[in-house]
Amino acid sequence: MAIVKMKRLRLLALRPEREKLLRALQSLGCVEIREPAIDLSDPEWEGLAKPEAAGLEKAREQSLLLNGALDVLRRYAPAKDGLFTPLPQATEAQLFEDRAYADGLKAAGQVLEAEQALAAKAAERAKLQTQKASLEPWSSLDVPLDEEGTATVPVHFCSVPVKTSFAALEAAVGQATELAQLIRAGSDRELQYFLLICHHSALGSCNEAMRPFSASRVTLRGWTGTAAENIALLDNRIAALEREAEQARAGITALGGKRDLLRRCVDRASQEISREENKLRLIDTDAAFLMDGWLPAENQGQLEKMLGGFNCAWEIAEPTKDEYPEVPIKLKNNPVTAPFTAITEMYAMPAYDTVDPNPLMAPFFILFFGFMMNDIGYGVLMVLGTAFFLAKAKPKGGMKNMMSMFFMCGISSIFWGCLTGSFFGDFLAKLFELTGASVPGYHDAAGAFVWFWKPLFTPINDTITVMIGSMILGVIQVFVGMAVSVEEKFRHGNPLDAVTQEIAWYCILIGTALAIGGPMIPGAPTALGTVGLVVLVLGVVLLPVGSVLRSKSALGAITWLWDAYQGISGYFSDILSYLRLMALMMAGSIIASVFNTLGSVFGLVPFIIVAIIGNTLNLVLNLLGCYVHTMRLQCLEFFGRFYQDGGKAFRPLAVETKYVDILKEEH
Amino acid sequence: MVAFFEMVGGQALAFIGFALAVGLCCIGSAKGTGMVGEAATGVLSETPEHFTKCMILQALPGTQGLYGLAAGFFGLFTLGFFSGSPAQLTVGDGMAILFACVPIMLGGLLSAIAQGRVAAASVSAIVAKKPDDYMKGVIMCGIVEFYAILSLVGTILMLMYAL
Repeated sequence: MAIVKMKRLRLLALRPEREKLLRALQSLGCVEIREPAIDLSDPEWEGLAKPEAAGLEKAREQSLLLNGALDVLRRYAPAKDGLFTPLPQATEAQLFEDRAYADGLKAAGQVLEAEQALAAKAAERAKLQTQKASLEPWSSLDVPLDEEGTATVPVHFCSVPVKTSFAALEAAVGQATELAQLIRAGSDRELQYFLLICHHSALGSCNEAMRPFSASRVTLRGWTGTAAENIALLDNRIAALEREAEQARAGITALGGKRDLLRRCVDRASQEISREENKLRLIDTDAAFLMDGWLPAENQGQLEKMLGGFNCAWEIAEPTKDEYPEVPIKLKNNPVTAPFTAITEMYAMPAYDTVDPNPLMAPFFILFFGFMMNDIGYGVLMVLGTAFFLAKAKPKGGMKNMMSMFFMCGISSIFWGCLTGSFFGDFLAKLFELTGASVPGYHDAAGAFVWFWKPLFTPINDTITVMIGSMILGVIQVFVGMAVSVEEKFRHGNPLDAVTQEIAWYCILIGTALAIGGPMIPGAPTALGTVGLVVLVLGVVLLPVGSVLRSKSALGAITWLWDAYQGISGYFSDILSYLRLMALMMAGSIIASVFNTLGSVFGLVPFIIVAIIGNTLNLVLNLLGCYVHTMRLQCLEFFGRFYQDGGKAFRPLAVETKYVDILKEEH
Repeated sequence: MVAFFEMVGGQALAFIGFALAVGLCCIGSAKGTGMVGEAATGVLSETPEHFTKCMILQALPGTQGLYGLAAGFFGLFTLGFFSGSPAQLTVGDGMAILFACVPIMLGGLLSAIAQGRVAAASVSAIVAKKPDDYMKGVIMCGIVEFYAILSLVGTILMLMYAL
């Protein structure tokens, strides 16, 4: 429920044991290795060096190979993993089994080789098809493609653009000479092809006559036999290639069975990569190496026990105040607040030795989400959906957090839905109205069914109540944020700051509320307003005192005006921002009720259909809206009051897998 | 002027409001989803497996059209057009209804286009390069969505009190 206490580790060990030690650390998963602050170019540190990066390169190559093979399998033999399929399980020993890894690399090689062969066949086939296309226009000619004619009457293969009139060309040539003949062969999309048989003496005038038609020679070098014969040959070869490609594809598909092995090996390769990357943060001497890092204080015993098995010397110390900015941050939470670490991490990590905002934020997050969603039907769907997914797919990490979070928010939605009497909006009221069913419960003035009991309030009829309620929720959250800040300031020895800032503002805000609101409450003692005024004045006095003391000069007397302006506008806009609670609550109810009404105009069956589609859509929109806006209120309005960010997340050298679920063994 | 409006009648003024609410919102949504669709085709030609992510992002600016329809429908319904006995509207009533429709007309139209830009950028930047982070793009779009929601709430509140 807090930011975990960290300790600094400095370790000297022998190089021959390095690999084994790093593996043991990775398995333990509790040490983040940092680069020691040693400038290797400094002559004082001569003789020290960084470990070689060869291992990292090798691991990256292997990972690339394995991922490439998985990609190929994804294309040719898609996996049939459902959304709800849990990851396969494996022990660490299985993950790091060298023989399986070698098998996996071999299988990956096979897959990639087969894919390359397939690609080569496809390229060859494409080439043959182009050749076939170039021969196709000649297929009607019963003339060998290498026909050159005789020395006196040569034969030429020619083409003209498809737009040219062949009859006009023939007429032009006929006019120029009688010693030439054109035989049209065929055409493709751009050109029409023909054979020119011409006595060599007439060739000049013939060319002259053809020039305006942009005729050109076609080279068919390398072919023997007629076009039709060649096309038949090409067809045979293409068919053979297709068969071979089919076989190659079947070969890849058959390797689909290796997918699980490949996936496990991808995971193994990423462990190798992370270990090798961490290795590069060490500093070597000839025989030993130095490691600098951080570990959670609670893991110290575990680590020392493990290190006892190695020839090494180490020092584990509490961080000094100067080191605080460097200390990595690990958040520790109970099952209810843990799902919200994802949100804090997305925002920013808190600085070391400050508060973990999760436990403070989680209740508000759940409460606000439910307030905006406020529907029993939607809440039940959320609870059932997430519970089903958690039970069936057994997700880990981010997905598990997300699902647990929506589960809790779903419960909160049901709670608020009970207060407003909303079940898929006014679905039941419309249903009973259409079917004419008379159901006991709370009825409105016109006698129409509203809900099984009298709703405490409804977003559409009690807009003002909802508006005031939203702002009250906002004031509560802002006050809690200020209280946290006060506590932190006292803990860090700045009570003066706390008194002249947060406490002064408490006085101003509460005092104003009492002074203005007190007399408006019927039957309240008149002294209430006076008390409010006194408290307000106290706050107004405290504020400039703080500014003067902080700036230690008379200038503070001027800056306090600015502070006051900032404070007033800040509190005002922050609290108004909570009106989004009202807006989303209303929008959800209105859209649900519009859909329920839309279908009901046309009868019972359209009503049910439109209500199902419309409410599904509304649920999805609301999930997004409520999530984004409750998050915004936490991150901006709430965190802004006390949060000190600036920490870096704790990233220990550990086994982190994507495709398998590691079963923890006892060390 | 007064004579002109009296000739037109309150009902027609209300209909101008509803028509523009539905029509402008649909124009906005069409533009928004269109932009995202264009961006998505580029990404999908290279990585067809991201179809679902692109589709979710594309659907987001589509909600404004729905809000416009919801506002128009809500108006028609409260005026009693579906129960067969529409309320008689004075020119003043009609004007009030027409103005009540302004927030969703403009808010829906412009927010759908703005949201379409964000979603299109999310498709071409986030989905193409870091597909696992696409939810962040969705969240960014959610922020824009809020202003369409506010417009809708504003219009509905005014419609409720206009009658």
